[in-house]
Amino acid sequence: MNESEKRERRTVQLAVALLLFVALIYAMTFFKLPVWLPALQ
Amino acid sequence: MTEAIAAVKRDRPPAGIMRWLTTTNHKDLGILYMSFGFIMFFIGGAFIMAVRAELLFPGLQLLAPAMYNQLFTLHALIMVFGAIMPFATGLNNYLIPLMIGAPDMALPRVNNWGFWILPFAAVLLLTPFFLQFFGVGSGATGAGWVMHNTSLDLQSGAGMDFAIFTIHLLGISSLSGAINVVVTVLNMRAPGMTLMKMPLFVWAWLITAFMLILAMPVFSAAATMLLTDRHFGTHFFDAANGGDPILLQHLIWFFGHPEVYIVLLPAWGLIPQILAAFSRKPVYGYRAQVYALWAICFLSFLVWAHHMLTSGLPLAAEVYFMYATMAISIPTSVLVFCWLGTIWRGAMTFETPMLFALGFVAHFGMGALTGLILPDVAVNAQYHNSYVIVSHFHYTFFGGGIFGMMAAAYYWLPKFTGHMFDEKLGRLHFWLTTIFFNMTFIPQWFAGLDGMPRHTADYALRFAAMNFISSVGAFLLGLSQLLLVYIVVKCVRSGPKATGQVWEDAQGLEFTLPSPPPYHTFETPPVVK
Amino acid sequence: MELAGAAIHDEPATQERHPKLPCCGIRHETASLHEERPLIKRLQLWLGAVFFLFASDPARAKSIWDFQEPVTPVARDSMAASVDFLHIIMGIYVVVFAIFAYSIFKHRKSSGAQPGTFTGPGSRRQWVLTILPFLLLIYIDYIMMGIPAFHAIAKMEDTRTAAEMTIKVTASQWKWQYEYPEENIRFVSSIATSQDQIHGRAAKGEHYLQEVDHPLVLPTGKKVRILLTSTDVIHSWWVPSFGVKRDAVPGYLREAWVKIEKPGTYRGQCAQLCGDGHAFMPIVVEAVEEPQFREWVAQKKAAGTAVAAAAEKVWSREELMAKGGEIYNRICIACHQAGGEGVPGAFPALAGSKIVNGPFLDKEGRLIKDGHLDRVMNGKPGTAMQAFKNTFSDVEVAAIVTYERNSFGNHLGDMVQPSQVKALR
Repeated sequence: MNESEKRERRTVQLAVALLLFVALIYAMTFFKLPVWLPALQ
Repeated sequence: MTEAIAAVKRDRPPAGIMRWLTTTNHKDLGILYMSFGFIMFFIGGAFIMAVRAELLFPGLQLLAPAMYNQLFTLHALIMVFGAIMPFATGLNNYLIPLMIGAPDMALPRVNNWGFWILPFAAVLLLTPFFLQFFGVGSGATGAGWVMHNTSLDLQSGAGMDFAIFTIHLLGISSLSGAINVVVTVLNMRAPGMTLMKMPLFVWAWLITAFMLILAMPVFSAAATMLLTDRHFGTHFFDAANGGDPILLQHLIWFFGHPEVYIVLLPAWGLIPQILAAFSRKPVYGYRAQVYALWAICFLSFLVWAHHMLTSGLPLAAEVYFMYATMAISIPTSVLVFCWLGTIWRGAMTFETPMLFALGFVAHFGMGALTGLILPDVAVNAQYHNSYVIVSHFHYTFFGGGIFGMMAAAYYWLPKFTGHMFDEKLGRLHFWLTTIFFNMTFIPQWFAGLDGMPRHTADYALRFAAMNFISSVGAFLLGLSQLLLVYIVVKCVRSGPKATGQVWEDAQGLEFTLPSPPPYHTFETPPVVK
Repeated sequence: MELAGAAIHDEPATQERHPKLPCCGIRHETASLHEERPLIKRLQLWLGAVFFLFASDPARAKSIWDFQEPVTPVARDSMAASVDFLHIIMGIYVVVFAIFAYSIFKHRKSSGAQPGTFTGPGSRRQWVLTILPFLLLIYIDYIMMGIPAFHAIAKMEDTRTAAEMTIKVTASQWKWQYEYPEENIRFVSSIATSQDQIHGRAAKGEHYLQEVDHPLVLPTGKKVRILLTSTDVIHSWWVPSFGVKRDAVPGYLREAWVKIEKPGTYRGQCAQLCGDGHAFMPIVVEAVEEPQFREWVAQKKAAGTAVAAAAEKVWSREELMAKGGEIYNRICIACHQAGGEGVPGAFPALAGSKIVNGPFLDKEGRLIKDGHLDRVMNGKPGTAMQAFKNTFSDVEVAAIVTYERNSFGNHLGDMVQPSQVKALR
């Protein structure tokens, strides 16, 4: 694998990881925050 | 893949509208983003002119309260999500690849989608507003941009659903942009361009992107929950069915407070660069600024409930959010200290971008200092939801965000267009903006201290004088922005040829290129020493 | 630590707080904890000069930096803290921007300045000068402001200790209901400013938008605990002179307290965007001495008995129409408009409405679901139409329904008796 292919692969991996992170936060907001936040009431 | 590469490699873009629809070129998309932000700035401004006209005198003259609520809600949504954020995104699109020596953004097609979602989102947001004039529906949402009042959202008409879909679209657009920035900055830097050699603007945008990635999904999820509450029988927020109306405030402000820094960070990144260029000195405290920006990013996720100190949080939470909020003043003042260090013992000249950068420091300083007393919970009871807050956040958003964007626009406009702008008119624009900006927002501060609540279409007679001054200031502020249109249009069409260097002591890779830069740049990466 | 006590004590409101400002003739009437504050005095002179234009309103006998006249311990403390810290931040601003201004005038290319090349503090002395402002900032944040603020919050949130009476405030779009549980008094307070004044058809009165039909009456010198809730959306009960702004949240009970030190009329309004009538939701509190308060309670109780008795009596159509018209023009008009035409798309018309012109009782004398009387008494969930049986008396419900059925071109000719409403509750 040459340098530019490696870079391309890293780019895709990082972008997908960030996308999964976004999905995780979105899901947590739905399922966890309504349970955690009322502790602040 | 080969096709995509071929498209990127093509020397000349297709002619006409197809160039703009299909472009994956970071410079084209940067210009699209910036033009969109520029246009929305004037739409959002026109809306608030109507609001200030209503507030010129006590009594209802022009607008019914329902229309009034829609106008200030749309003003906020448009200015934050339609004007400042897209303009800052445009700057990053155009400049980040040039600043780090990359041929383009890492994900050019995603970049194209990210932009073309925006005009549709704007149309979606504004459709119900214009439909009401033809007797269709009850207008756009009038619940305020942070939708602080859940039950009100549940009651309001289809305008709210349009806003919810707009929020989802904006979320997708900003998130794709943010992921693109992170990937580009971490993977596409030219050899030798280490992280700690990157211009501060790139650092600021990298941090902004991380904040967007953490905060935006929460906002989108809150909007989805609101949607399911309204139409699919869930009860997240509906008190009548055991939901919690304060939960929405928590969710919105968990996003909303980082959002304040999402708006400001790009400006904080570019201001030291502009100050340094016109002081003919290197940036002062580069490392300190990078760490301060990270500290602000970190703290911004821990202080959200200071926006809801009157909602009846428990004592311990109030005390925590007060002390946590105070902590933000420390990294913020590191930044101000470094700006001062940057111009100190320089050899300054005062071209328009420098004037706007200094104006940014002066006004943002006022916004930051007034923010210093807001977390005091007992005093906050008097400030909260009064015109004190309106004045305070306009000093940060307009005095900080907009002044910063204007400084950037004037600084890089010759680089984008290849022409110098009319310096005399630019300075005039700065002075008019400064004078009328203060004329608009200083009286609002004192009306607030005297007890004027915000979001009201009408007010008691004791606030009449301050509102009159403020409205006149606002009209003149709005009018003087038309000068900006003239300057920009004139600069795009003609003007003295700009050199590659543009400004005598401008630093950075983008100033090693001709003005305007060729369609494709840094296809072979430059080597940074 | 001079300011540390600023927010904790309450002292009688007799001492002169700030010296007279020569430039604008302003007098501070509120209490002070410390007589001498030379730095702040000097700053005030400066800033007074800067803001001369804004500050020259001697008629109000109040500095531009002040809140409305504070009359409770919490309000006095928070105003003192606010004024102090506004001056401190203005001081910081002046110092920092004096340095900026010095640099801008001194370090310009046109005056032959040679640019430095430093990028951080170089010497030991410079490091000290760099660290110092941050230590000062931390001191201002966490000691000067943080400690008194902590005590102020603790005091503000302590609604129960030594509370001598309790009232309950229930907000709904766009009025306040006040309840004295111990006295069994309950009434609704809504805006008294006429639509003519709001729309510029009549001259605006002195208390434009800040006047109500039935003010809240409270005794002075007593710690009153205030419980807040809402029936529809979130509202916020704000009276600047009391230093109290607390949200009224549907489904929750929030608390605040006041101990009014001076008899008088104090005005405020809803501070949380709550829909179209947000600007028209004033609060007026009459603070009176204890004996007068007892007298008012007795009167109000007698009136309550009269209202209950009124529900028993048979009312004539003219009486109901007159009373209904008065209520309509005060409450219903905000949404359904003067001619009952409503606002298309937002609020339904009453003129020619199917519901208003339809039957409201079935053969057995029960409410017809979504009939006219049902709508008025129980509201329409999810809209601004609320359950008026919670805030209206039997007579008021009967009057308004009768009025609506015989106005705006509706000619049903029938009427509702208060006794019927009472039976249907």
